[in-house]
Amino acid sequence: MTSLGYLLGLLLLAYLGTFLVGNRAIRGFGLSSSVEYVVLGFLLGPVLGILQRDALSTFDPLTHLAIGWLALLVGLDYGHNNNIRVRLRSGLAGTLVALLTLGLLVLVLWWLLPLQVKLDPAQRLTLAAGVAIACTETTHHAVRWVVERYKAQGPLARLLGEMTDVEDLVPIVACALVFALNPTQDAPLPAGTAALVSLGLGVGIGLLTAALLGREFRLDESWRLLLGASLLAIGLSVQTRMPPLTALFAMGVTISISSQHRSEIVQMTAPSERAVLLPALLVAGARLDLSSNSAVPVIALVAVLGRLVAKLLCGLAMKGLVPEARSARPWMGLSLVSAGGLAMSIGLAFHLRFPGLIGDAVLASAAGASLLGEFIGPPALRSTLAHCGELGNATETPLPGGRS
Amino acid sequence: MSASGGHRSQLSYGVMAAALALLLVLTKVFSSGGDNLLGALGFLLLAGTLAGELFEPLKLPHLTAYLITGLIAGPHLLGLVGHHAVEEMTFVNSLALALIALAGGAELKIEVLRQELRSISVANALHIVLGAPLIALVFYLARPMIPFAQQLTPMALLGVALLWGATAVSRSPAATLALLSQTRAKGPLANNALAFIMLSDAAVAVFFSVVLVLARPMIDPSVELSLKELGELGHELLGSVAVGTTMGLLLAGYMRLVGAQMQLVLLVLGFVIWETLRYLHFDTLLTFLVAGFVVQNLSNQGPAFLHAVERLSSVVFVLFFTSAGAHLDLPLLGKMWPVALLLAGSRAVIATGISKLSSRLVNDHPMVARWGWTSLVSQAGLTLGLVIILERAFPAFGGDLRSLGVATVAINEMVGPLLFKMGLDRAGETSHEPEPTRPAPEGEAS
Repeated sequence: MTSLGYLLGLLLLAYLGTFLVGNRAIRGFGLSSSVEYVVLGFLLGPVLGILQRDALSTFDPLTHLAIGWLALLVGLDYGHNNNIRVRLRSGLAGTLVALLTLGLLVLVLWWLLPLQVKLDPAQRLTLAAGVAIACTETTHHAVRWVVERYKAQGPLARLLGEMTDVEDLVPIVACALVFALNPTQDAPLPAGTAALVSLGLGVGIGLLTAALLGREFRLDESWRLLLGASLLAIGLSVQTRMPPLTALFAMGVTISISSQHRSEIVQMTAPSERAVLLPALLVAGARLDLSSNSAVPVIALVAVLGRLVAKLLCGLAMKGLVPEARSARPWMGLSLVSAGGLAMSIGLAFHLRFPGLIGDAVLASAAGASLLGEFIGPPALRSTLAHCGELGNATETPLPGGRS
Repeated sequence: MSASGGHRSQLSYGVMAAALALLLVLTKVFSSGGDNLLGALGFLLLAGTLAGELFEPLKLPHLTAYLITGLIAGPHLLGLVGHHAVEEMTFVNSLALALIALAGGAELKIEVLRQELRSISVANALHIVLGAPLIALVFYLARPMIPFAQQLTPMALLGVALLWGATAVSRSPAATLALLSQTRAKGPLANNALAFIMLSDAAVAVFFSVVLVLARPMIDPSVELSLKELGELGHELLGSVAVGTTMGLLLAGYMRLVGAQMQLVLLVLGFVIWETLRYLHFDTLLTFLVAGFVVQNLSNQGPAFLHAVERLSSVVFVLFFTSAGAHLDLPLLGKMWPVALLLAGSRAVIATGISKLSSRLVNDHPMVARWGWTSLVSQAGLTLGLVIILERAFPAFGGDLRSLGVATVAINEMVGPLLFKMGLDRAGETSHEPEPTRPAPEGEAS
């Protein structure tokens, strides 16, 4: 398949993506985490050999662009749920759940990794942290998917919606730290300062963009400024060997805070999310390599199971500490296992930055978490909300995977 | 492109100037060598946009600001954008040219074309019949100033001069359309310039091929005159019109039945279909020009189509012209400037004279008669494409000929838009309406 063929395929997928979700409402086509595109990529890539890895690497700049753009969108809408500012306690709860999940996973993987592979301590920590970071998020798409499809309304639905909007901060910052602690030989910045520079770059370019967007919102000019600033931030991040995720997320948050046009910018950019996400997921699927090292599938399995346990523990903690979750069943933590765009973006970022075992294992773990999360997360969330009496008039539309 | 500079406060300009300076520093500090493609694209898009706005009070076209930004940031001056990145950016060209051709076709309304047909036919004929030989004569006489020409026999030199003349009557659809898009100019001069330059593209393509067939035996006596190439050209042009018509009808049908995500459809057209047609030896510019013309004139989707093309163009044109600026070979221009200036200057003078003559013959609108010549100086991608064909056809001196062509185009590229903007301003055709300030309609923003 030629580069033109790949490009056509990716553009067609982007086209399809914009029809699946229009503006900010989830219309209900496809799975909640869009993991089917990862599976499609896996089938077209490693299984059938139609999408070849070498040819896909031609599009590495586009992959960086997709990762960065998705992070920018997350940053622009960070701390807002349906355009309403997230409450502080929901934000704290979301951050703590993410930290707990991340911490538990790092510990488990750090402890179990020597049973599978021999690595020096630095590589062992990078691998454990990378896999844990990719398995931390609960995708807000899945929560919104259930809430909107089943017309859920109530304190728990609101809490979960807000928590999943806020918790993205933890894996994104952790990702920057891991990248900063692993400088390449040609990295232009010392290990300690790289993460700060990456964040500073995002904040600086974000402030610059907000200042340039000015008082009057001009549509075409705003597109040019936002796109130009994003490309610049992604390019400089790649140049400094830092993940575009962090700089672009920081840039998005900065614009969101400092520009008076936040809602217009969010409205302007929202339709591009699926258009970028679906090709990125397909590329991620096609880049999966489970056979490069026999440890990769084992690490991914351990990560996915560890994630289940960590989220169950988080659910128990919430049930005990958060009033909105008191009436939920003990296994409400399973409602939080859906993963999606951010997990796969982190997987891709590690895959590009750490080729070999670490990159393959992180990407495979992210894919595994997304796949398993799709089968468990939405039904568990629906059941939890139903148990708490927060489901409205449920439609007859079947759940992902044919469940009803 | 914004045309609303008048609405900005001094504070806004101060912020933009400070931002531009900060941007330069930031890029200089972090971008070692400037060979990072994404960083270079982002820098040029941002800096070009800012420079365009900063140039507004000086009444200079945005296009000139983009070229100057690219030139300053490019590998020969500040080096913020490296050689490698500039080469990699050529992928923007096909998208930009596709958009230019689509918009150019869609801007040509049948009624306007009917009005202008006599004028543009006579003008095209005069530029080809009179202009090209006169420019060829100047090239022939400038022999002592052109090192490689001194090695050629008189007959070979005549062949090369004729080819130079054929190349020199090409214009820049890109610059014309970008400027009309920025200024939102409407009126007799804008209509005439657009119709003339878009149609001259097809005329020059045919003329250049004919001259190439005739000049080849003059330059290389071992080659015999062959009409086969002319036959192939005929097939290519007819095929391009047929494919363009089909593409236009499909586009109009899509817009009527679906109508969403035109930006993505245009990306597919600009990257994938453009390259495929090029591979199949169709005249891509003509194909897309016909497609745009069909959408505008054989359906009621013209205004919506133009709007979609202009929205994507607002980003792509900045990249296209800033990268063109970065691509300008300053050391080469420094070496060849006397002869390049002579050739560029004589071309401008000849084009102006022919424009005046043509206007007198067909009794053009007074504004066209007075300022029509200002649209004829710009040259860019199309001319460079023709020069590259010459380089491949005549490897013995083609490299030197190409260098001379690039140096001449560099001058025309910088001066042409300034002249045309001046012409439009003087003719009172530039618009002062501000850019829309509403957010993107649903589904259109990607």
